[in-house]
Amino acid sequence: MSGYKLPPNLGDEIGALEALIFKFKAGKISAAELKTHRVPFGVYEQREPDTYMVRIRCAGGSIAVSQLKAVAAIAAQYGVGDLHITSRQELQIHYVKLDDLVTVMRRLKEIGLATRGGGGNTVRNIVVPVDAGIDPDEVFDVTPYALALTDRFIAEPDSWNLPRKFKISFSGSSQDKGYATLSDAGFLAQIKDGRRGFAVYAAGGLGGKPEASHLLLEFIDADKVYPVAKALRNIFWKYGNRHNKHAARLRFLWHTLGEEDFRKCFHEELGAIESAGYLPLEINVPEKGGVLPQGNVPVDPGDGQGFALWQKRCVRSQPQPGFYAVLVPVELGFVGCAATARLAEFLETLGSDEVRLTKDQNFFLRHIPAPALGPLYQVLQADFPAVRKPAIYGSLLSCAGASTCQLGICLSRSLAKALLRMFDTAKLDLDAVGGIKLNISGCPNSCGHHQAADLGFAGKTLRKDGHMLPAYTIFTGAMIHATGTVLAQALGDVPAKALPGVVQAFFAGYISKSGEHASFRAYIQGEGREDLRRILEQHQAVPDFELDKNYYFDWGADKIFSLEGRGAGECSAGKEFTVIVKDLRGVLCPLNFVKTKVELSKLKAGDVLEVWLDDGAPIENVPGSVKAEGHNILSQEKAGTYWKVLIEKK
Amino acid sequence: MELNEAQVERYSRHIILGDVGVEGQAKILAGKVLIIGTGGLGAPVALYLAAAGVGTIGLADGDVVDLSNLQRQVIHFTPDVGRAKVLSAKEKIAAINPDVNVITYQTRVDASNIAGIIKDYDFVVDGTDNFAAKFLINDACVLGGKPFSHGGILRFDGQTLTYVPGHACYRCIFKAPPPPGAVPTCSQAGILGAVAGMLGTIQAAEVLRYLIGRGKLLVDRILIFNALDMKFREVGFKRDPHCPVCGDQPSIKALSDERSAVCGTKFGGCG
Repeated sequence: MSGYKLPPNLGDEIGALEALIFKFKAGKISAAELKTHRVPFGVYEQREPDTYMVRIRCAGGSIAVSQLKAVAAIAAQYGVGDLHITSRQELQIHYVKLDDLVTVMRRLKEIGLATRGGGGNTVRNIVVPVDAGIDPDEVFDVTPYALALTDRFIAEPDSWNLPRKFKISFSGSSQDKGYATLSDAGFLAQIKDGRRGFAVYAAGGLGGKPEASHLLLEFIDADKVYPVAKALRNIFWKYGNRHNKHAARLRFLWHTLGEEDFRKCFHEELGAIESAGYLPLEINVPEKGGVLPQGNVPVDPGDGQGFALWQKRCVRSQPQPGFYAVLVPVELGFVGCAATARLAEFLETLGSDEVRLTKDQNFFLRHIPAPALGPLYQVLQADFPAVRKPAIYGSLLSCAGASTCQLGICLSRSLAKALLRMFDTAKLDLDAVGGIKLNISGCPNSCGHHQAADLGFAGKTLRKDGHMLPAYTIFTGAMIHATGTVLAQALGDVPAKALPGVVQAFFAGYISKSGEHASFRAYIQGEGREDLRRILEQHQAVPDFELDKNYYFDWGADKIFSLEGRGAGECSAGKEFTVIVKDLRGVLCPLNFVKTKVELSKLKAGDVLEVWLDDGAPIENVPGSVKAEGHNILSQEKAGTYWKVLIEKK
Repeated sequence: MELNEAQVERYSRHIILGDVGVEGQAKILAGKVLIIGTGGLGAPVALYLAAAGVGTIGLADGDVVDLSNLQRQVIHFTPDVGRAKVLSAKEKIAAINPDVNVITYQTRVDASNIAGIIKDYDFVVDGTDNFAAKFLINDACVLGGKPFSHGGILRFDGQTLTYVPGHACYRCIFKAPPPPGAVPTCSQAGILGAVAGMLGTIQAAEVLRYLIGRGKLLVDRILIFNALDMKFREVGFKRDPHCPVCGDQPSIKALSDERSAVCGTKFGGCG
């Protein structure tokens, strides 16, 4: 397990960021300008002033045990004692101070990890199914391809300056556990005439206007992964929409060009790359299950029923005889640094050298020899309480939500905690439910993958008698598969406060007739949907504001629900300003741009103007034109049928 | 300066331009430009400056509209034949853009009146049809420290340069008017109407760029074109320290009318 290779210029790039941070601290550049440089380094500002989140690239969702231990130490020193596992199978350190950012990056670099491309309009973490290499159904292990492609792409400057983010995924079988059919570029392993290769999918993804990917090429030889991925990235670079980030992902290009022209552009680009000559990826990692661990294996102490239950829930055998894969459930993806370090140390004693990170934000261990399962269980019990709980505790996935995200509508993580509390007290046989994809997004922007869920929720606002209340749209029945991925469909809306009751009733209904269905997933895709609709109708009533205000508070909130603070953005960092708001709805192009300029002409450099623009041509044109004149677009977000755009005057 | 709603809309295609914007349009609206000659060159200059919103436009011309003028002097219409050119032009300007304040001088400029007429303007446009007027305008602008645009057209040819104090003037190249009869007059040579429009719009663009302070004016260079083969060229030149009017020891210290009063030459004009 060699991990990915850092590009030679990473040190210089970190140095350049350091220089910008100095400039920012000296007041020579604005927070907004610093932001445009730090975000592509995987650094986001948190809501608390001067605290940042650092996202660490873990190609293939894999991290070496020694690296994991070192990251835990770095996070303990510069963060607040915990790590976060992301839904793109990476690690994040939270609450890092501005002054420590560069130090953290350099420490990570020393252990072979980079944050470059963790955010912004870049090639994001290249992922594989968490069980790649040990999945009995896989055609071959795709991990080495993800690592080798990462090596190439993170060394190429064009990966850092795209119109929007660019997600590449690999899957080892038609089950598509890596979401190759939900990515900007997806590679699905196949063998044809004895040759390794891939079916290539393109221009799909979750988020606003989600879409399953399109089958671009039925089969490419494995040595063409690099030119094909590069051609997709290049056409995105060249033709992608740089004016409107909400309509920028590759899937929008598919529609603006049309399928025929998209394919033509792609093939022209691919032809150019091939005729210029390229080196195929160097696939140099052992391909069946990595290196089996060596070393002294501790004796199995065992411990009766708990141990047996744990094995049933979290342990499964590998194709490699005598070795086991172990899911380590981490509630909502937050894990303590000390616990992580202890786990890493234990794995070191086994000679184990790799930990994988799952999409639903858990650790996944592999190559655990049978005799080590008992001692591992003991280690985990102390630090990971969810190991004694049904799988749903680990599989529940939530985005950060409105507590830290500026786009958030609802406090999704608080809802997740409310669901966990419900699981604790509801006396349901949750093992019957299994580890379904129960996914929560705090807004329609799918960071919680609600459209890929068995049961998903997306935050929204409802109104009753003029009072706003937090609510969720319920989605069900995603089917992700090479033969035709179907996104989860919206079923209806429910007040946030009623949601745990809905889930409880739905689970209870299934459990009562679980014998009739092959799995919860099968139930949801069949009659479960109608059952859920009935339950939903029983939970949709909202009490009057005057009678019961409880529904008008979000989970975990101590204030009446409102959208206050939403979209205020990172521009608020360290700077005082008044935002002038200009409503340009109903004003056609280009007069809306003219009026924006008129308003800007009344302001001083550094002042911020908010303009409201209609969807369509206005939002597609005005921000780009404003930017072309040197002003800074701090944010643009959709507010119902129109857009709010924040502009900082140059 | 605050633009009203109608102005924002009227000047929107200027405001969109990065080099104009609200600030540039405000400068245009505050601009005062004198156009001498309301004929083939003055007509497009006046029309475009009025449309652009130049706040004050002065028109100086003593002639009345003649039927033969209409082939190129596009600000005048058939019913205007026989009317004073400045009044005909003023009406059209008012119809295009009521924002513009028009001041008319229904007189031929000469050494006795020109200094008084040009003194309140930011910029002067030479749209005249004779050498005497061209040299007079040059001398008056040099002595008065006024920038101006020179323009001359004949048959299919046009030439233009812009004078800004401190730089080369018209006399730095052309020391004095040619003797009468040395070059063909308009009545002998004719003029393609559109050539007047081509050169006039170049002059109008010079005025607007001067007002907004963007780009490189036709300063210290002369633009010459031939519309028969449609070729443009540019000749650079420098301020002549021996120039009789803008040189280090000028011999012309007061204005006088040149003897040549006939219609243009290769370097004259055919307004």
